[in-house]
Amino acid sequence: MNTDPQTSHHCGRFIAGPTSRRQMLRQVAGGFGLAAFSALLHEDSVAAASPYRIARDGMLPEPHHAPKANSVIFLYMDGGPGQMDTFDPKPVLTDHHGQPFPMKKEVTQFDSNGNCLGTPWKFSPGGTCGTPVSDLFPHVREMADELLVVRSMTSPFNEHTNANYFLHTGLGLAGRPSMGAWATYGLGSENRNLPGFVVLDGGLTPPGGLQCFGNSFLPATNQGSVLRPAEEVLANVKPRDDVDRQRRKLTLVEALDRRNRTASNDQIESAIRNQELAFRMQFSVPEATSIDGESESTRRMYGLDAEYEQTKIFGRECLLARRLVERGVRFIECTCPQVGADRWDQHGKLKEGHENNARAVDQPIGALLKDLKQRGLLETTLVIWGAEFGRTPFSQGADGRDHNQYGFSMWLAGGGIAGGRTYGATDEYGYKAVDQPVEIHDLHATMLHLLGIDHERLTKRFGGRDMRLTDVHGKVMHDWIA
Amino acid sequence: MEVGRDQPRGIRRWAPALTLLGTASVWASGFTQSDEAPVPDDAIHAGVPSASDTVDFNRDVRPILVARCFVCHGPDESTRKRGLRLDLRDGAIAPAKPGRDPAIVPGDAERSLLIERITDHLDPMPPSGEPLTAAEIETLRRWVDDGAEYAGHWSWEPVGDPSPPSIAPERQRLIRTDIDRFILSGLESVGLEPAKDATPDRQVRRLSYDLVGLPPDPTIVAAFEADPSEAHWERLVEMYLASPGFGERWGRHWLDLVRYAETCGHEFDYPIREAWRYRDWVIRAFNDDLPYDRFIREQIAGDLLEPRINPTDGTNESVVGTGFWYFHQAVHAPTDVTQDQSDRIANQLEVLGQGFLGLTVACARCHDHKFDAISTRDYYALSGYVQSMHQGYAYQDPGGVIRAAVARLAEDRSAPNEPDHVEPAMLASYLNAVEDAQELEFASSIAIEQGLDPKLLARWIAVLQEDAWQTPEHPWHPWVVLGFQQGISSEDVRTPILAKFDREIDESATVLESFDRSTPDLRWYPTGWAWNGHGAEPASPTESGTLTSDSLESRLQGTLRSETFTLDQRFLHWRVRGTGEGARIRLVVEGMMMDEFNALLFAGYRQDVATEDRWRHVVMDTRLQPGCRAHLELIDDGPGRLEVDAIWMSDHAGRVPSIIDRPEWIDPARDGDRDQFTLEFALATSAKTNRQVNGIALREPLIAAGLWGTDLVAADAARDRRIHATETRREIADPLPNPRRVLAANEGSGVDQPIYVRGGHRAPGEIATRSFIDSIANDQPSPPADGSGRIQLADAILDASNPLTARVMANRVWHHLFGRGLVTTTDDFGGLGTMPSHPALLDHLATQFQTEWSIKNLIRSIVMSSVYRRSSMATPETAARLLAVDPQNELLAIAPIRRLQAEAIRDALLAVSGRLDDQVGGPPVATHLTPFMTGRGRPGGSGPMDGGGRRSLYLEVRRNFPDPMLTAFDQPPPSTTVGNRNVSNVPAQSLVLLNDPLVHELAGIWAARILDDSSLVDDRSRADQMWRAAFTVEPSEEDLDDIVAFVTAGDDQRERWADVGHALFNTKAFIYLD
Repeated sequence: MNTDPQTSHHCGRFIAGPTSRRQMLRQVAGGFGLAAFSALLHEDSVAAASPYRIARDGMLPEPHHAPKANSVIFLYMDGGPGQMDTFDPKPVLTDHHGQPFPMKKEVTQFDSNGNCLGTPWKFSPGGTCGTPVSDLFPHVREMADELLVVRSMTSPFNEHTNANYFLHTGLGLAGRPSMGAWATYGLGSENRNLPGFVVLDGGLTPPGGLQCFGNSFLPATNQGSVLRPAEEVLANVKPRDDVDRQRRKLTLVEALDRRNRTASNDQIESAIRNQELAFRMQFSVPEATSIDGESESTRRMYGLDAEYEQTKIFGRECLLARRLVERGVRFIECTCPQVGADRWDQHGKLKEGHENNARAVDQPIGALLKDLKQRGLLETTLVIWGAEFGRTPFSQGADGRDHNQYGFSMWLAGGGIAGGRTYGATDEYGYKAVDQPVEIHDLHATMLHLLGIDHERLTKRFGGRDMRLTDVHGKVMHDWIA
Repeated sequence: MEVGRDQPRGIRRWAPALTLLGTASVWASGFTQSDEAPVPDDAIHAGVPSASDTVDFNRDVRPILVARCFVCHGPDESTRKRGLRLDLRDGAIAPAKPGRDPAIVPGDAERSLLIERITDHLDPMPPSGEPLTAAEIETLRRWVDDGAEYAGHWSWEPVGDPSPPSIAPERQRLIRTDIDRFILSGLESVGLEPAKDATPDRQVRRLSYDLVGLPPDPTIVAAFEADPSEAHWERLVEMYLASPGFGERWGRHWLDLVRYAETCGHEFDYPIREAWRYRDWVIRAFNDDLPYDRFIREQIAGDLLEPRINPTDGTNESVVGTGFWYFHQAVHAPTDVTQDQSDRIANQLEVLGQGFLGLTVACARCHDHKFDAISTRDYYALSGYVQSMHQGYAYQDPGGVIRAAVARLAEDRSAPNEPDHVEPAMLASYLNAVEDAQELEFASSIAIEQGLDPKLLARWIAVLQEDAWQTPEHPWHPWVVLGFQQGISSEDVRTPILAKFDREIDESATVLESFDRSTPDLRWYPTGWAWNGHGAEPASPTESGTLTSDSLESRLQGTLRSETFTLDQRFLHWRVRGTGEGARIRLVVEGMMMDEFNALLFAGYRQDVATEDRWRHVVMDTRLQPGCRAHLELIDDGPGRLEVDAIWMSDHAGRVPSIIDRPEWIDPARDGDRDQFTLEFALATSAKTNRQVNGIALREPLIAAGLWGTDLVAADAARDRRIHATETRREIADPLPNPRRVLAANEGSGVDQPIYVRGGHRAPGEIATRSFIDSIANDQPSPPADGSGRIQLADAILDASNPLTARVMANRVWHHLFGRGLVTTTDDFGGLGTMPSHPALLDHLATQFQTEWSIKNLIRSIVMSSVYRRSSMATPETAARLLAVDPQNELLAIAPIRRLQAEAIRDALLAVSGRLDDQVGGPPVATHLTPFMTGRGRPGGSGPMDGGGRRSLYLEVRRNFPDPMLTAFDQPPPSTTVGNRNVSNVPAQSLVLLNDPLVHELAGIWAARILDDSSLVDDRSRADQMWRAAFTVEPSEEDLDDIVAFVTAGDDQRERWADVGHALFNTKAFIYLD
């Protein structure tokens, strides 16, 4: 058994073009049987029956088309930042600040709706493209040339969990696979010693809980592994024995296993391989998540020396995200740190709340984009920034905004996205998407497309239907793609 | 029957069934355009078409048509292209429109457009996705040449009772039961020889895990090894079937189907209260072998059935089953509450359809089913049943204590206890006298003068001077101030008192309920005892024109639900009074029950009525939910009382309807007419109704104060009788326990749903009258208006003519015993499901099952067979052939190797280490929280790491905080029916067994127990003991050598033995059954 932590993980990244499954097998199969490796990546062992099922029920034999992105980093802005406060300037709203809101108001969460609430922040153009970004995001603004700002996102829900399940899984209820699960289900991981779908826990679990990262009816290997910024990074990855004791034990297990394989069975074979892999993960996961080797300037760039504790937390997440991308992790979600009152969900105290949240994430996100770019990784890494919905242009109470699903902003960068542009528009108050509205299903379809997957063809039969991330909806936003 | 050698599927030819489903017309319910994307063509392949000589429509042709054609040319008219439908033979062989060629010319593939189009090189059908394969085209060509005969979808065909195939006499030794004949015939058809019996120890291990989910006791194994006779096997089977563990194991299988959970998920993961009582009900049902038809019936309509009585505590078992409906997720602040309810109902119908029928009913929510004979109308017709009932609690009375008390109270009440009648004239005399006398010193003379009892008059004067009678809330206050204190002559005194009785009348009000008629305006549905005492009917309004929850006794609890009505005005009004302590009113909009936890957007819809028993006008602002359906609840869940006078809707917040007008006795006061005022007061007080319009019980304070009578003796007697009666009632009522509450369905009025066109409730179409799926059931009775009709629904599901119910369950049982169903898609017997590997066997099992609906008999019949007891090792002669002709082992030449399920793995860890607590049932064990389990709704405290040693199905099922170990081993999230769990094989599982602290702890406990066992004299015997506990089978000498060497190589024996335990847990044989 290979127990040397120095050689048991993959630092190399398979950037060069689309990696076919066969190629990958050839590259990483050293020391393992083919069957074992295939079981690792595609281990729905009962299912693999007909030639059809292999294509349907696991990793694609090869991508549907040439991928532009190998990995996705999703920067989840828990709670819903105000679009008019971040990436969608609304001078008319500011002009009418304090006056009655002229449009018909839909029902809101708290049903406590007031007058026009102009944004407290100034917008300035960023980059050479001049995309306006508010003063909440000066670091991100510097990278404006990389961003495609979508100002016309919509969602069918304005309640956190419905909207959040919808954002993460394409259905407004718990119980469907997360988009990260679908991505790894389709493409597998490029690193056999790390999970393919990783959630970097900043402290705030999204509303709806861990079900946002679930595998549901997809094989368990596709579920999001939550990595915590703590001594034990991943559940059960820290050996509870010293290495010698554990190795002694496993040697005994190996001997007993060898003798008691009554029938040669694929399942048992792959369980044995998984045990070896688990053993190595005890070393590969801490290595991947340690930042000891990162330079001082890199740390500073990500804000790890910031005064604001929350900037350090999110900075570390972003730095880890880059490290995981380098190591071939397929899908990474960064969740927000706790900044006191309440994530981006400013039902009151808009100024204080948004400022704290932005302070935590702005510098790290700017650094992430810059770092990926200078390492040549941004080209193949799709970065998505956004939340389950936006906020109302009219006030809630004195100084808050309620949830608004009718029009809000997200942005995408890298991974084949044509940056330096905006797409779609809300009305002059920033309430509803009026030009080129986009559904979350479209975002999902486009994300999968960039990964080389046809969203209509990545399916899994469950409960009598061929399930998709995009259900029966979604269109690829070809306009977004470079 | 001929089955070709190249057809390794063991499929017997299905009896040709040419009858088409005669229901096509209802599918086409006239929906127009749909812009919905079709299901991707390449997504659907129901199986590899066979290349045998005979083409079987269901086996060979239908899967191709389903996968490649039906999306555009199938049952769903809204997406049908060119008017062509290929799911019906008539549609395929007739021109879609006059002048066109038919798609199929039976017997002539060359002239059939279908064949032409699928082989068109330039523009082949289907227009998107991969073209048909050569084999698929060949199959269709041959089918058309053979006459293009259709057959009904196999699962819609009646359940047959095929006779078991005969087997040559020399092969009889391979047969234990009829099941073996079916299996053997399939094997013989492809020339496979079944494996021998598994070794006795393996057989027992398999049986024990399958039937009770735990490893077998080594002594039982040893005994069976010594005597592996048929009779002994039978005894083992009976022993395990009789074990309480049986219900725990099979109950957990059932919980997967009903997405059993104890919280609602979503933002705060609010609890589903009393959920576990349903879990225990399921366990009892399996242990008692409750006939499956009754089991289904109770889940659908247990609240409406003649109760099945729990033998232990005498409670109604049947109603507990209805909890089944309510394990859905729930959101606390849906801005579109109708959509929210329609999502919930979709989940309920999904579970009903997939769980009981193997049908994906919920697919028809937005469009007619693409592949099965289920129309949108069917979906909304089913939806009406769910609309017509309400989530709530059933009240139970363990031991019948409440029931006995109610009987005594009713008897007591029927005893004459009304006070003597006092003539109004006499009462008026006292009122006049007390006004005249004013002071005690004059009482005597005035009494004598007017022929009254001086002592009684003196008491009148004293009582009226008490503080309580002076307060504005006291019913006698108007008279005390205006009469006794003679304020009637003063405008200044009169005006404020009279103002209290002046009301602004609301002409726009719609009175929902005024309780002033002999029958109520709304239909009401009672549960518990507060509102009716003892019968099923709600109490009629009292003579006083109100409804009270304490007509028998205030300690009785219960809820009264109204029929469903529409909120078509802006405000809902109540006139209520109560004492708090559980007295509550509630408006439930579109079944939205989460206001119990969080009332955002539903604020004030659920209110405690703690008015210190004064009347209060309660207004609920319903402007956020205009036009929604709603019902009312009158709840008395404590020792208090609740009384309701009137309920109305209006567009105004402050006014009252004309039914709540001024009391008659107040009118004379307006003119200052003192004599008339007094007389009216006396009349109102002594009137038989004992009540004025305002619901003030004028007589009661007089009786309590000893003023009710013509003289002091009579008044004392009346008071004493009332006190005595009260005492008697208290003696009965005070010891009353609180009822037990159970999550349950409550009946409501019959609601027929409009069809929501394309699933959206903002586009209601025509009404779909409640009924079961039309293509399965005919001649259904009309649904009742005063109830949901769920009994009829259950009848239809269980009707002998419904071929699905028995087949689906028989297949589930097979699935659990072999790890794979005869139909592998256990929850989908429709067009996208797979064909049965052994159709005749499935029908044989279903037919047997249907005779008594006994699940234990069904299991018994399977585990007694040879196929169940088979070795997982093929005979050397067969091994190669098996790989060639049946690599998936569908024909069961060998026993499948299976991984234990999540619960069985954790339970085995507990059992083997000696930590298992075998208590059956009870409240769940609180979730053990790890640092990785974060988020809103995280419980304040963590449960024990080892779950108190309880079996896994007793661990709390929190949707947002699932148990990590069980999740790692594929316990599914509770969102919908899962009859066929994933069996994944991932490193996270190894990490759990390697590093989870619980596994370490249990290894340590196990080691300590072994070391403390003085009967184990040396390391070898210790190793042997542990080995047998973990794996059941006998260890080899080498295995024992390894373990002993491992132990002796170390100094710390306790640590070393703990490591041995941990190593055994990590050995693959621990979690696999072979």
